Amino acid sequence: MRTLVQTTYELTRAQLKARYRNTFAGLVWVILNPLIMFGAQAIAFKHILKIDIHNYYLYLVCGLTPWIFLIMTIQMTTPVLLHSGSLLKSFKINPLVLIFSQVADNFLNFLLAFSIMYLPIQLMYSPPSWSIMLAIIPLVLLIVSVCAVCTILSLMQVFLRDTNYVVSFVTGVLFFVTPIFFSEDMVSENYRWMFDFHLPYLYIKAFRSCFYEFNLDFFLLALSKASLSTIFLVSIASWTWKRNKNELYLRI
Amino acid sequence: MNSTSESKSVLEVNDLNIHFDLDYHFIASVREKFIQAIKDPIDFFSPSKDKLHVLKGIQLSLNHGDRLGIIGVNGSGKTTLCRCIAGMYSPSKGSVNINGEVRAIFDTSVGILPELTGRENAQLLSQFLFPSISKDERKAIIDDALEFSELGHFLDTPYRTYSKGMQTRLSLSLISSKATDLLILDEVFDGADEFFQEKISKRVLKMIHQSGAVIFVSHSPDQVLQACNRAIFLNNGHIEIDGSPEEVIAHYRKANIGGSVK
Repeated sequence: MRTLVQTTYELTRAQLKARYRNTFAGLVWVILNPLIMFGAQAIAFKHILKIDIHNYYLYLVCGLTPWIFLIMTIQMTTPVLLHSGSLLKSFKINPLVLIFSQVADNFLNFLLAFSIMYLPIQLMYSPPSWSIMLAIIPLVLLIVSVCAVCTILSLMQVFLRDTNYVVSFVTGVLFFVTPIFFSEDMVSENYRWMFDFHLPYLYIKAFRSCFYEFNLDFFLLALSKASLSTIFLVSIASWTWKRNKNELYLRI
Repeated sequence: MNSTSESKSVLEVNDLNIHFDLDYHFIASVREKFIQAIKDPIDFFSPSKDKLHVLKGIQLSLNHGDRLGIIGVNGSGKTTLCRCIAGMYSPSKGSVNINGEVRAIFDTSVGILPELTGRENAQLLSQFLFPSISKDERKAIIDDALEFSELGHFLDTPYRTYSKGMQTRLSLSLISSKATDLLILDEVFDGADEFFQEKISKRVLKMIHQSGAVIFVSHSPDQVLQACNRAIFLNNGHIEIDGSPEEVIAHYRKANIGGSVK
């Protein structure tokens, strides 16, 4: 376990270095993608479609940035095991290190982008409340779950080579049925129960509740659902990994 | 013959079996799986029960000082056995017990992040190969390996621009810089240019002699004779003979000529 954490840390550091080479342009690039997405959606939904949600920019940024982290990480990590075949076969290296380091790399980018975007928007409305400190709990659940999902999908990509296309398609569709730019209240009560089974949204809901109109009961309920989802995803990932670990080396 | 030495046990392999599901009609896409599930659901939900047995009942022990050569034709299970001992495969049946640290190398021309320089890749590779050493020891190992590689100013150019020979020089220099309890080398000399080959061979042989026990896979009987004091001949997933390198190589040659190798 110690070796896994240590090598994941070293690889994440090296990946960040390789990608940005310690440049200012690299830093700008990290926030450019979420910033453009946020700008485009804020204009489209707030000003063109006139969606009526209180403190809309804050609502949007707290939902959109974790969503971008989740989707970008899944899309980047799905082919990682397949593309690293020669490396994995060359010497003893835990394949999970490659997955976890990619997740950690994107997570740091997400934290940076979110911090830079959140603070000015929050200050437009009011000073931040103490509840933002609680965000660390849903963030831990989010990173564990993303690691689990990425493990499942990158293994799947080794066996089914078009998994990444299916993932892109599914995430593209999911965006329009996830209350990121609209709220749950806008959906008919008959269909709201479906959001309890919308796994990515469970984490976004728990995370957003720390920043947007905090209510302790609502937060605890969202957190318990996200925790159950995490247990479920980690169990599936662990079972899938144990079952397919040997075959992995044959297929890459 | 189980071991040439009476000293401390380094490796115990008991009744090791490795098998994989044999999929005759392997489908590698979600789209095709979907079509098959619709077209022939019975066949889709009743997968083949056949197994591909790569290793069968392997019984092996290594003591401190053993330098074991593994000989066999392609597909005989040499690399699978090494990977299983290294902990990359889980046994389907049986057990592998190692007393100490194991380091296994199967290819020497691989960089971890090709966008980084050779020096940075060496630093990263050392983290994977020697995760538990101190910072000072790591620095000493890397400095020594970089100097030995004779790559000069190329060390600060991106690894992706290296030729296969340069990649092998860098990796082999680093790999051969520290001995370990159990060292597994699978055809590691392939890829180095002929001028570097002699220099690195001496260094690798020195490390082999310093390590607790060594498993050495090579297609070259001369290299096995030079590096090993014991050998096994692996044929069709099981050990056919375990003995001195001279004896095993003679048997291997005879079996190949006689056509008993499967």
